[in-house]
Amino acid sequence: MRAFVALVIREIDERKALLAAAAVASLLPVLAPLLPSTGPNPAADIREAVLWFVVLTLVPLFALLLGATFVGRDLSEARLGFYFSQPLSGLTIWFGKLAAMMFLIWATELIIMLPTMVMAPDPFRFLAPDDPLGPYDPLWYAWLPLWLGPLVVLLLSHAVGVAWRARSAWVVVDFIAFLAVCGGAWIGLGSFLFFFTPGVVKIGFFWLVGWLFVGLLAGGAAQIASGRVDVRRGHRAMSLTVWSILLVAVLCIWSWTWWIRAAAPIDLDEARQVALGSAEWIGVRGPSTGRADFQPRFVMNTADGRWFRAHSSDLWDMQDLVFSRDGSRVVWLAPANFGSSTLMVADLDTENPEGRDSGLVFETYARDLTLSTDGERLAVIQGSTVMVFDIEPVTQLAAAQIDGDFSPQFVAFEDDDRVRIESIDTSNKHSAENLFQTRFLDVEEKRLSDGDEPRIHFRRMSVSHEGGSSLISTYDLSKDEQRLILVDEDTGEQVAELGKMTSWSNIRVIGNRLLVFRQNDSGGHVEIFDGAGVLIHRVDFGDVGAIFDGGEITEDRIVVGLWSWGSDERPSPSLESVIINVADGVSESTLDGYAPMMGLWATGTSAGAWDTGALASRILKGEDHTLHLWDPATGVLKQIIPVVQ
Amino acid sequence: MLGLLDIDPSAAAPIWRQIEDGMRRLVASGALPVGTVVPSVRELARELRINPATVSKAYQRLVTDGALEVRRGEGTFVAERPAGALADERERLLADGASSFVEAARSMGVTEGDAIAAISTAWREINDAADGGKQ
Amino acid sequence: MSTNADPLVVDHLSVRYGKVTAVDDVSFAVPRGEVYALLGRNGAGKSSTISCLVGQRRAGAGCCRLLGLDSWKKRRRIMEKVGLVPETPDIPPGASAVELGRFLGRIRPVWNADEYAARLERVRVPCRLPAGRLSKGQRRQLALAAVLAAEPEVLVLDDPTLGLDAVVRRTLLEELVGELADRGTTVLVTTHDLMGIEGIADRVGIMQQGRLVYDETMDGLKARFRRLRCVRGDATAEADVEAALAPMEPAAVRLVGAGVDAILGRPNDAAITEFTTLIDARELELEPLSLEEIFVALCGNEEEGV
Repeated sequence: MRAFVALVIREIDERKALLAAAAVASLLPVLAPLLPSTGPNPAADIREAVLWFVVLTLVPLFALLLGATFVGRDLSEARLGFYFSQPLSGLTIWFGKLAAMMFLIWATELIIMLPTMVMAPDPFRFLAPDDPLGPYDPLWYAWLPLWLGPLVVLLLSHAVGVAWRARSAWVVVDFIAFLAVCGGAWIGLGSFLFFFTPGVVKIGFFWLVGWLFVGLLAGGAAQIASGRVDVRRGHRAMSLTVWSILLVAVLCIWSWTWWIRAAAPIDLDEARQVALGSAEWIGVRGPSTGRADFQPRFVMNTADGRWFRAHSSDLWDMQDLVFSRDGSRVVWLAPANFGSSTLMVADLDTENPEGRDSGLVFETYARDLTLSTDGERLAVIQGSTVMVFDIEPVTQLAAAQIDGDFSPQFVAFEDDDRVRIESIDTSNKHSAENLFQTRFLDVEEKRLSDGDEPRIHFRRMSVSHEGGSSLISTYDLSKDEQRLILVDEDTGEQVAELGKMTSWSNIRVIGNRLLVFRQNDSGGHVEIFDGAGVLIHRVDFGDVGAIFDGGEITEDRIVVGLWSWGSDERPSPSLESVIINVADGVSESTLDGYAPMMGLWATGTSAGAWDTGALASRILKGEDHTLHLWDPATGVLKQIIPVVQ
Repeated sequence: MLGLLDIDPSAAAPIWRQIEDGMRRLVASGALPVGTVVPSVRELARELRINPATVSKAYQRLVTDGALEVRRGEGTFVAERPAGALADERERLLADGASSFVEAARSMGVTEGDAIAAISTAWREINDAADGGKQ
Repeated sequence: MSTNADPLVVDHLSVRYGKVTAVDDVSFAVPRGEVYALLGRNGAGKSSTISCLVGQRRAGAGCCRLLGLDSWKKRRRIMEKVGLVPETPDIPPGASAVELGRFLGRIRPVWNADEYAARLERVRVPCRLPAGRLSKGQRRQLALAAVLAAEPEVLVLDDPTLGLDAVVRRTLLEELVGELADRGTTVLVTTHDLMGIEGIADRVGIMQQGRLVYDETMDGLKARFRRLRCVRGDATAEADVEAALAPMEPAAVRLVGAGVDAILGRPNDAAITEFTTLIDARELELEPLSLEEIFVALCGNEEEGV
C-alpha cells in the first residue's frame, strides 16, 4: 500500500506542469467579462459560458494526451523498466499510474472551475450541473459525463495508443472484434428500436459501456503484467482481455433480449391493455419486471389456458390485435425495420396456435387492418390507398386510391367481396368536425364506387345485438346538421331516428342497449336506448366540461368519466368517475381517483360489436378489476393480473 | 605508494601475481620499510580498479608467506622478516629476472657473451642517468 | 554446471523477435560473489538476455533464475534484492536525486539513505536538479547510487560506461569495485569497455549472433591466448603455415611477406616446437594479449548485428 501511494505521488509529481496549465486556464472565465467583445451580458453568465467552453475543450484534451502517454510514452522511451526493476507488481504499476492520472484529471477540472465557482452564488451547482434532459431520467445525470467521461477518454486513448505503438497484426483482430461487438450489439438490441422501446436499448448501451470501462481497466492491467516492456505482447494481452470481456457482455445482452422476448403470461406484472377477441380468445399486454419498457403481448384462450406470443410495437398504433369475427384468425403487425412491418397471422382453430410470418410486408405505415368475417381476407389502408389481400396464400386482390379532400380512415368488410371505406375530410372546408364519406370497393371487380353524402361518423360503427340493425349517423351538409339513425341491416330502411346532435358525442353498445353520451348547453347526460331505438333511460350529470365513456365493468355497469373545468371553489380541472347501472339507469357510485381512459374495448373492425358482456364478466370478477385465468381441467385459479386503466 | 605498483592487466602474469610480485619487490627494495601500513584490500582494489577478490588473494599469499601481517583494528603492515629472509627474497627476485632475460635473449639467438655485454651496457647507462639525476 | 545456489542462472534461454532469433540457447551461471562480464558486438543478444534475466521480457524458450526464483514469474520478489542499471538511464526526468531517494526509500525493503547521500556527494551529482537536466554521466552515477543504496545481492549492469568520458568511467568503476569489496555482490555486467572490465571480471562470456561461444574464467582466457610472431622459412608456403597453425586454434592469422602474425587459442610448448620445425620459423615471439585484443580476434570477422 505504501508503495502504491508512493508510485501515485511520483507519477503526479512528474506531471505537475499540467496543474499549472489548469491554473492558468482557470483565469480565462474570470478575465472573459473584461473583454470588450462580450457585450452587455451579465458577468456571471459570461463566466459560466466561458467556463464550460474551457472545461469541455481542455479536459478531454488533457485526458487524450495523458491517456496516450502515461504508459505509452514510457514504453517508447524505455522508461517503464524503471518501475519493473523495482519490487512493484504489475497491478500496482498499472493502477498506481491510473490513479495518478485520474487524480490529475479531476484536479485540473476542479482547478479550472475554482475561481468561477468562488465568484458564483451557488458554487456546488457546477459540480453537478442541471440535467438538460430532465432530472427524473436516472441514466442521464449530467455529472456522469462530466466526471467519468474523461476517464473513458483516458482509457480509450491509452488503448488506441498501445495498438498504435505496437504496430502488430493484432490491430486486425481489434478491428474484426470491434465489428463483431458492434454487430452483436445491433443484433441483440437493434430490433428493440423498431419495437420503440428505447429503455431496453438504453440499458443495453450502458451495460456495454460499463463493461467497456471494465475491459479497458483489465486490459491495461494485462498489458502491463503480461507485456511488460514488450509492446507487441502487451497489445496482444490487452486485446484478448478487452474483447473477451466485451464479447461476453454482448452474449449477456443476447441472453437478456432473448429472455425478454421469451416472456410468458405468468411474467406479466399487470395487464395494461386487454383486447377482447371473439369467443374465448383475448389479447393481454403489460409490463414485466426485468424487461424495462418492453411490454410483452400474448393471445390467450381464457377457457383452456392456451397462449402464444404476439409482441408488438408502441409505435404508430401498431398495437392492435385484429381478430376475425368468427374467431378463427387473429392478425397483427410486427415491426420489421424503421417504418416497415410484416403481417403476423395465427389460426385460432388449430390445436396449438402460433404466430407466423405471413410474408406480407408493408413498406410504409399500414393502418386500420380489418379481417373479413372468416378471416381469409385482409383490408388495410396505406397512405390514401385501400388494399385488399387474400391471406392464405398472400395475394393482393384489389387496391383503390382515394383522392381528393377525403382520405381513407376506416375500412370494414360488408361481406367477403365488398369493403366499406370511411374517409375523413382533411381540408377543413366545412365547419363540422370529423366529416366522413363512405365508399365501397368491389373486390371481385376491383371497382370503387362513388362517394355518398358526407356525414359525421363515430370511431366505431356498431350493430345492435338483436334485430340486426345498423346504427349510422348522417350529416346533412345543407342544414349543417347531424342526425343519429338506426337502419335495418337487411333492408337498409331507416328504423328509428335517435335525435339530432350538435356537438361531439360518444356511443357504446352494451348487450342490446345503446348508450349515447351527450353534452350540450344543458350539461352532460347519458341516454340509454333499447334495440329498437326506444329511449328507456336518461342519466343527467349537470354542468360538465366533457363527458365520456369510461368502459364496462360488467354487463350492466359502465363507468362514465366527467371532466370539469375549474370553478371558484375548486380552481383546478378535475376528473370524476361515476358508475351507472345500465339496466336501471341509476348512477350508483363514484370512483375516487379512478381515471377511466380506455377501459376494455372490443377490437375488430368488422361491422359489428360483439357481445362483450358475458366474456367481460367471466374475466372481470369483483370490484378490483382483475384478469382471472383458471386452469380449465381443474378449475383452479391460476393467475390474477390486475387490469390497470 | 600505489603508483609504484605497476599492474598490466594484459600481461601474461595474472593480476594477483603481479600484485604479489610488485609488493615483494617494494619490500625487498626497501621502498616499504617494516611497519609501513599498506593500503587495505578495498583501497587498493579501488585505486587499481581491480576485483577486490584478486587483491585479497595476493594479500593472502603475502600474509601466509610472512611478508605482510594483519593487526586487528589497525590494518595491514609490512611484517618483520627474519634476517636473511630479505636477502633470500632479493636473490629470488633477481634470479626470476635473470631467467626471463636469458629466455628472451636465447629466443633471439643471442650468445651468452652478447647477453652479458648488453647487461653491462644497460647497467652503466642507467647508473649514469641516476647519478646525473642526483646532481 | 550451475548449481541451485548460484544467484544468477541463464538456462537454455532463447529469445525471438518474429523471425529473428536474438538469443539462441544460451546458458551460463554466475556463482555468488563473482563478476561475470558478458561481451559481444552490438546486436549479439546481450541486452535481450538481460531483459529476460530481470523479468522484463518473456523468454521464447528456457528460463532465467535470480536467487533461485524464476525471473518472469517472481519478478516482484526478485527485485527486492536485485539492482539493475540499464543501458539507457530510465530515471523519471522530472525527479531530482532527493525525490528519487524518497521514492525508493518508500518502495524498497532496504534503503540506506546515508550511503546514498554520501555516494552522491562523492561522485559529485547535484541533489536537487531534476534528472533530465543532469549530464549523461551524472545520470549513470545517480542510477548506480540508487541501485547500490538498496544493498542488492545481485547487480546487473548493462553497459554502464557507454558514452562516458574517461574520468567518469573511472569513477564509476571505482564505485563498483568499492561495492564489491564491501558487500561481495554478485555482478553481471555487459560492456564495450574491455580495458576497464579486464581487471574486475572473474568470468567472461562472449556472445556472437545470439549464441554464447565462450564462457571461461578471465584468468583462463588470458592464460591460453597468445600472439605468435615469427618469420617463416623461405621454402615454406603460406598454406603450410596455416596448416601448421591449425592445431593451436588460431583465431586470427596475418601473413605479410614472410612474416607470420597469429593469435592462438591453445598454444602449448609441444605444439610450438612442432610448428617451429614444420615451417622452419625464425625469430619466434610469443606474447600475452589483452582482453580487447582477444575479443577483437574472436569477434572481428562477424557482421555487426542489428
